[in-house]
Amino acid sequence: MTTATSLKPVREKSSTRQPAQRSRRGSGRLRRTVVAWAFCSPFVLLFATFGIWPVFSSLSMSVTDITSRDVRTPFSVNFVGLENYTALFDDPTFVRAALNTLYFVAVGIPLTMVLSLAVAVALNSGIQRAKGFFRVAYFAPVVTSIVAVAVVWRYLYKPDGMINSVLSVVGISGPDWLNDPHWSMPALILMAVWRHFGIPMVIFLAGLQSIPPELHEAAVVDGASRWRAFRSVTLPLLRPTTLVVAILLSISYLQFFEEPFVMTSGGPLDSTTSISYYAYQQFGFGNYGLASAASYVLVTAIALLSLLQFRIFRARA
Amino acid sequence: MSTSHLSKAIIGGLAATLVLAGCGRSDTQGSGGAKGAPISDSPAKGEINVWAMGTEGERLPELAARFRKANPDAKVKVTAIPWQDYAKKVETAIASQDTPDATLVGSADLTNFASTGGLEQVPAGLVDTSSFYRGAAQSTTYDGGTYGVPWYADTRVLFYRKDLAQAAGVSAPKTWKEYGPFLRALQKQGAKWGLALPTGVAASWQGVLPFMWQAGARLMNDNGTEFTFDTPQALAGLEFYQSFFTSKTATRNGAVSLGEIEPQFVAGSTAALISGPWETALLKGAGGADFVKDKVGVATLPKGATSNASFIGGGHWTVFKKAKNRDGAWKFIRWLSEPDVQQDWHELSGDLPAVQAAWDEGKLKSDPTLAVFRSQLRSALPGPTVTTWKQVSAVLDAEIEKVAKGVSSPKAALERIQAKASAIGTGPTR
Amino acid sequence: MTATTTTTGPAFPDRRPSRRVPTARLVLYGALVLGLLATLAPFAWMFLGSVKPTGEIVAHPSSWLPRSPTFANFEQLLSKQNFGLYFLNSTVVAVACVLGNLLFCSMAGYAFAKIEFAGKRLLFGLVITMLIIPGVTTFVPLFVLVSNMGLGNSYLGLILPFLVTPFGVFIMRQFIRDIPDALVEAARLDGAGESRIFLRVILPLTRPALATLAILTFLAQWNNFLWPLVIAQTEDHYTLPVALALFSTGANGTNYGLLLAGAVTVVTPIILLFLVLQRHFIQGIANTGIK
Repeated sequence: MTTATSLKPVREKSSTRQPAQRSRRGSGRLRRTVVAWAFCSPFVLLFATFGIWPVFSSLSMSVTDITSRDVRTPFSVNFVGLENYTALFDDPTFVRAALNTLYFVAVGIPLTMVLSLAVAVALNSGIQRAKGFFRVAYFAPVVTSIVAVAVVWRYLYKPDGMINSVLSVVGISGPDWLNDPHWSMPALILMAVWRHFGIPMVIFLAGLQSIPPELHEAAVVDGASRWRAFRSVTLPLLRPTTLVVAILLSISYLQFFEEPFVMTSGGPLDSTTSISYYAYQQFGFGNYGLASAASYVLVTAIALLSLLQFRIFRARA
Repeated sequence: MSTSHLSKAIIGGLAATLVLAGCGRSDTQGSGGAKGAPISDSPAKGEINVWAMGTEGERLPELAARFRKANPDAKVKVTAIPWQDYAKKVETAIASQDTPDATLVGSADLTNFASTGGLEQVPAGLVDTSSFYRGAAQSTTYDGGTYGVPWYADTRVLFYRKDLAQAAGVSAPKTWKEYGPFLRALQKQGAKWGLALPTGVAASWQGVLPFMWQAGARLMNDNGTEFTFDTPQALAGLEFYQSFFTSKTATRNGAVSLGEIEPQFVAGSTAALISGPWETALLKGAGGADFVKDKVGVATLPKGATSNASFIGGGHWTVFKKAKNRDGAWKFIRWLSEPDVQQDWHELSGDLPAVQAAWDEGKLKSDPTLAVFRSQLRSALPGPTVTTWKQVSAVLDAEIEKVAKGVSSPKAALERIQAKASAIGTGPTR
Repeated sequence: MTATTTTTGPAFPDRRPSRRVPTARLVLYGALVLGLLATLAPFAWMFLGSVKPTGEIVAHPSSWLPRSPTFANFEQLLSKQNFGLYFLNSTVVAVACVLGNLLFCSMAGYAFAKIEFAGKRLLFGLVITMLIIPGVTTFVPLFVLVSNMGLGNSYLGLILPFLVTPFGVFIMRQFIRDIPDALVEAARLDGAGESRIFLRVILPLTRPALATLAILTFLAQWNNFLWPLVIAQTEDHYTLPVALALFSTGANGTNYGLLLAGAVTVVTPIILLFLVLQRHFIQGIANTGIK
């Protein structure tokens, strides 16, 4: 453990090592390939069987009219091309689900990032005592099962629940969170942030620890305020970390499913239906083709968003 | 992993690639299951593997032990499975053709399972269909065939605060006309809401279709090929449902999760609710036995223009086409539908017998609360038995929510329901 | 929020004893403790609820502290037949998946990180793609496949599909990339074979990543519901979440007492595991992030 802790990340791309290796051994590439595939073989075998193959099947399903009635004879279905995909965008519920997912992502990701960064900074340099304790406690929601969490949060969000009791202390009369189409999504976002901010928090913590303190101190000595020093020194150096956090959050937030599933069933008035929830429902209706198509729309969205984030953060870095 | 399994997997893989190349549906593809040979009267033999959900699954082995006495060579092996996502389990089992012999299914799900072709039709002469409650028997049919045998039935009746009604000097409403005044009288006794109604949560339709039925609506045409939601009767039902909200008798934000309404009923903030036979146990849990004895009244639903129909649910027994012991499974199911076995099961589980004759003796005959359920069962109806119902009912739930929340008129909601339901259709053309 | 300005303070460990006015720090502590309460409140509610009778859990208005504390929920849960077996099944499945992921994903991760080979880009591209495909998409084909292989109702059927995960390979690769090439090169010059390098040089250095992968895999498998539900054809292959669903959720009602007691039972082992591994874990997650 201690060895690993003292180990500073060395940014050395594997490609820089290649010439040396090549000169050492002429037939190296073939041998390396054999060795590498040997190392990968257990993974590849399992991954190809239980990972790639089902994806291939479901991708095929998305261009057919397969339903649950065809499960015993899956090969006698019709090829419908992209009909499922066009049908999706003709369905107002799907469009609503897509917009909801966008809402959730657009508000949820920045909120999670700001909060996790703030807590990370506080734990990193704001306090000296009980750091480990706080770190564990703030991380705890990540490891809890959603079912247990849902029961508790439903009680918290009741019109006379704990959240509104707290609000009434400061003179705000809180809404009926889960029954009000305007407040149901904010309620789920809050819950999602609570559940998810632990992982970005520790990633930011690690990022902060790898920034040499001297840089920041130099800025403060030069007369910059602490806030300015944070903005002009710390934040830019955190950019690679921020990229990783943003991508990890995009992957998990775009698949927004568990919160509406256990809390609102997508309601009220479809205000919390997400693409994943829509796909789940369509699977439930037995419309396997349409459901698969919805899933792949989501996959495309995740890929595009990740690419966009790469562009943004890489370009500025 | 045996060779045959492996080769099956590989062949499956090759065949799936053909999907991309595009093979079509053959016209002859039958959707239902064929009717099997009749079942003899000789005792059952061999191991009979059955699935049953939840409490039913936990208690069934006790009943099954009695089956063994009459059929010493047979052994019923019960696997208890959770209600949660059980449909997925049944569907995937059918998909993989790796099934037990028989399974209990929720009455509302039978059509979907039958449409996969994974279930066998009930053999001719196994049971007398007319011995069951009409609504229960109705929900075992799909596409002209019968795929299940009703086991237990449940239906929704009116639970109200007897103490508040006595204090207000009113008795349970018999008709729609008395409904509103009755509930408002309870509200005057301090209840914030008169009646709890579903307002868009999943399966809200089970609480709202009865209003349409009571007004005389039939939601499908006679041969079950088209939905008919755009009728004056259906509109009358939906308008009546809406009236509870506009008169502030029911909250527009009904319970979202199970178990949410009971504490409000116990606290007296909601004076009445519509629920099934399981409700008594839930109310005991939330308010104690004395509360149920002293303060809870039970009555059949008030009658509309045509009837006082309620929704019928319950459990049916089905046999898989890939059953290894089909003969034994059907014999077990036939035994389960005998009136005295039905009575025994009621003793064990509290489930209400689906066989009418079982009600003619003992507690089932004498208990006043059970009498209410018995009376309600006679007129109770299931949802339409078409494969697309799950999808259509989701549309219903969404539109019901709009009416409940006051963002749509009943008329506009019904028009959308009719349009969407027609677009979804009633399943594959027959 | 006065805390906001304070929390965005210096971004490095402040090692000198603070001579500044302590008010800012006090406010910060206050904010952190408030956040802590908000974070832990649902936990507290869950634990307190599990020792309440059902009537009290659903009571309206509800109270935090149990009026008549009882262990009846736990007694009822533990008295269920086979409860020990369900616990054991969950453990076997979760531990097997953890071991598989640790070994196979670190092997593959090593190859991706430290060896140049033909097909690497394509293979890694597939891994990344799989990372973003939601599980619900592939559920039915996966089940039909596993069942056709004759693995329905078997431990293999429960375990094999999750024995390796693209996520596992991804984080092991990220972590191993940060191990200096010099260490690997030195070992190669000493004549060590790749497997020796992997076992003697790489594995000992990846302990934090292994801890991370161990916890996340354990967590995912321990909480997995749908897959064990459909794979297990008989009760003796049930895992804890499936059994809990069987006991606590009916067709028309939920037994909240049992549900909460079950939730506590399920969460406790994870929390214990987390406490044991948390230092490695947090560091492991953290290091994956730093590229």
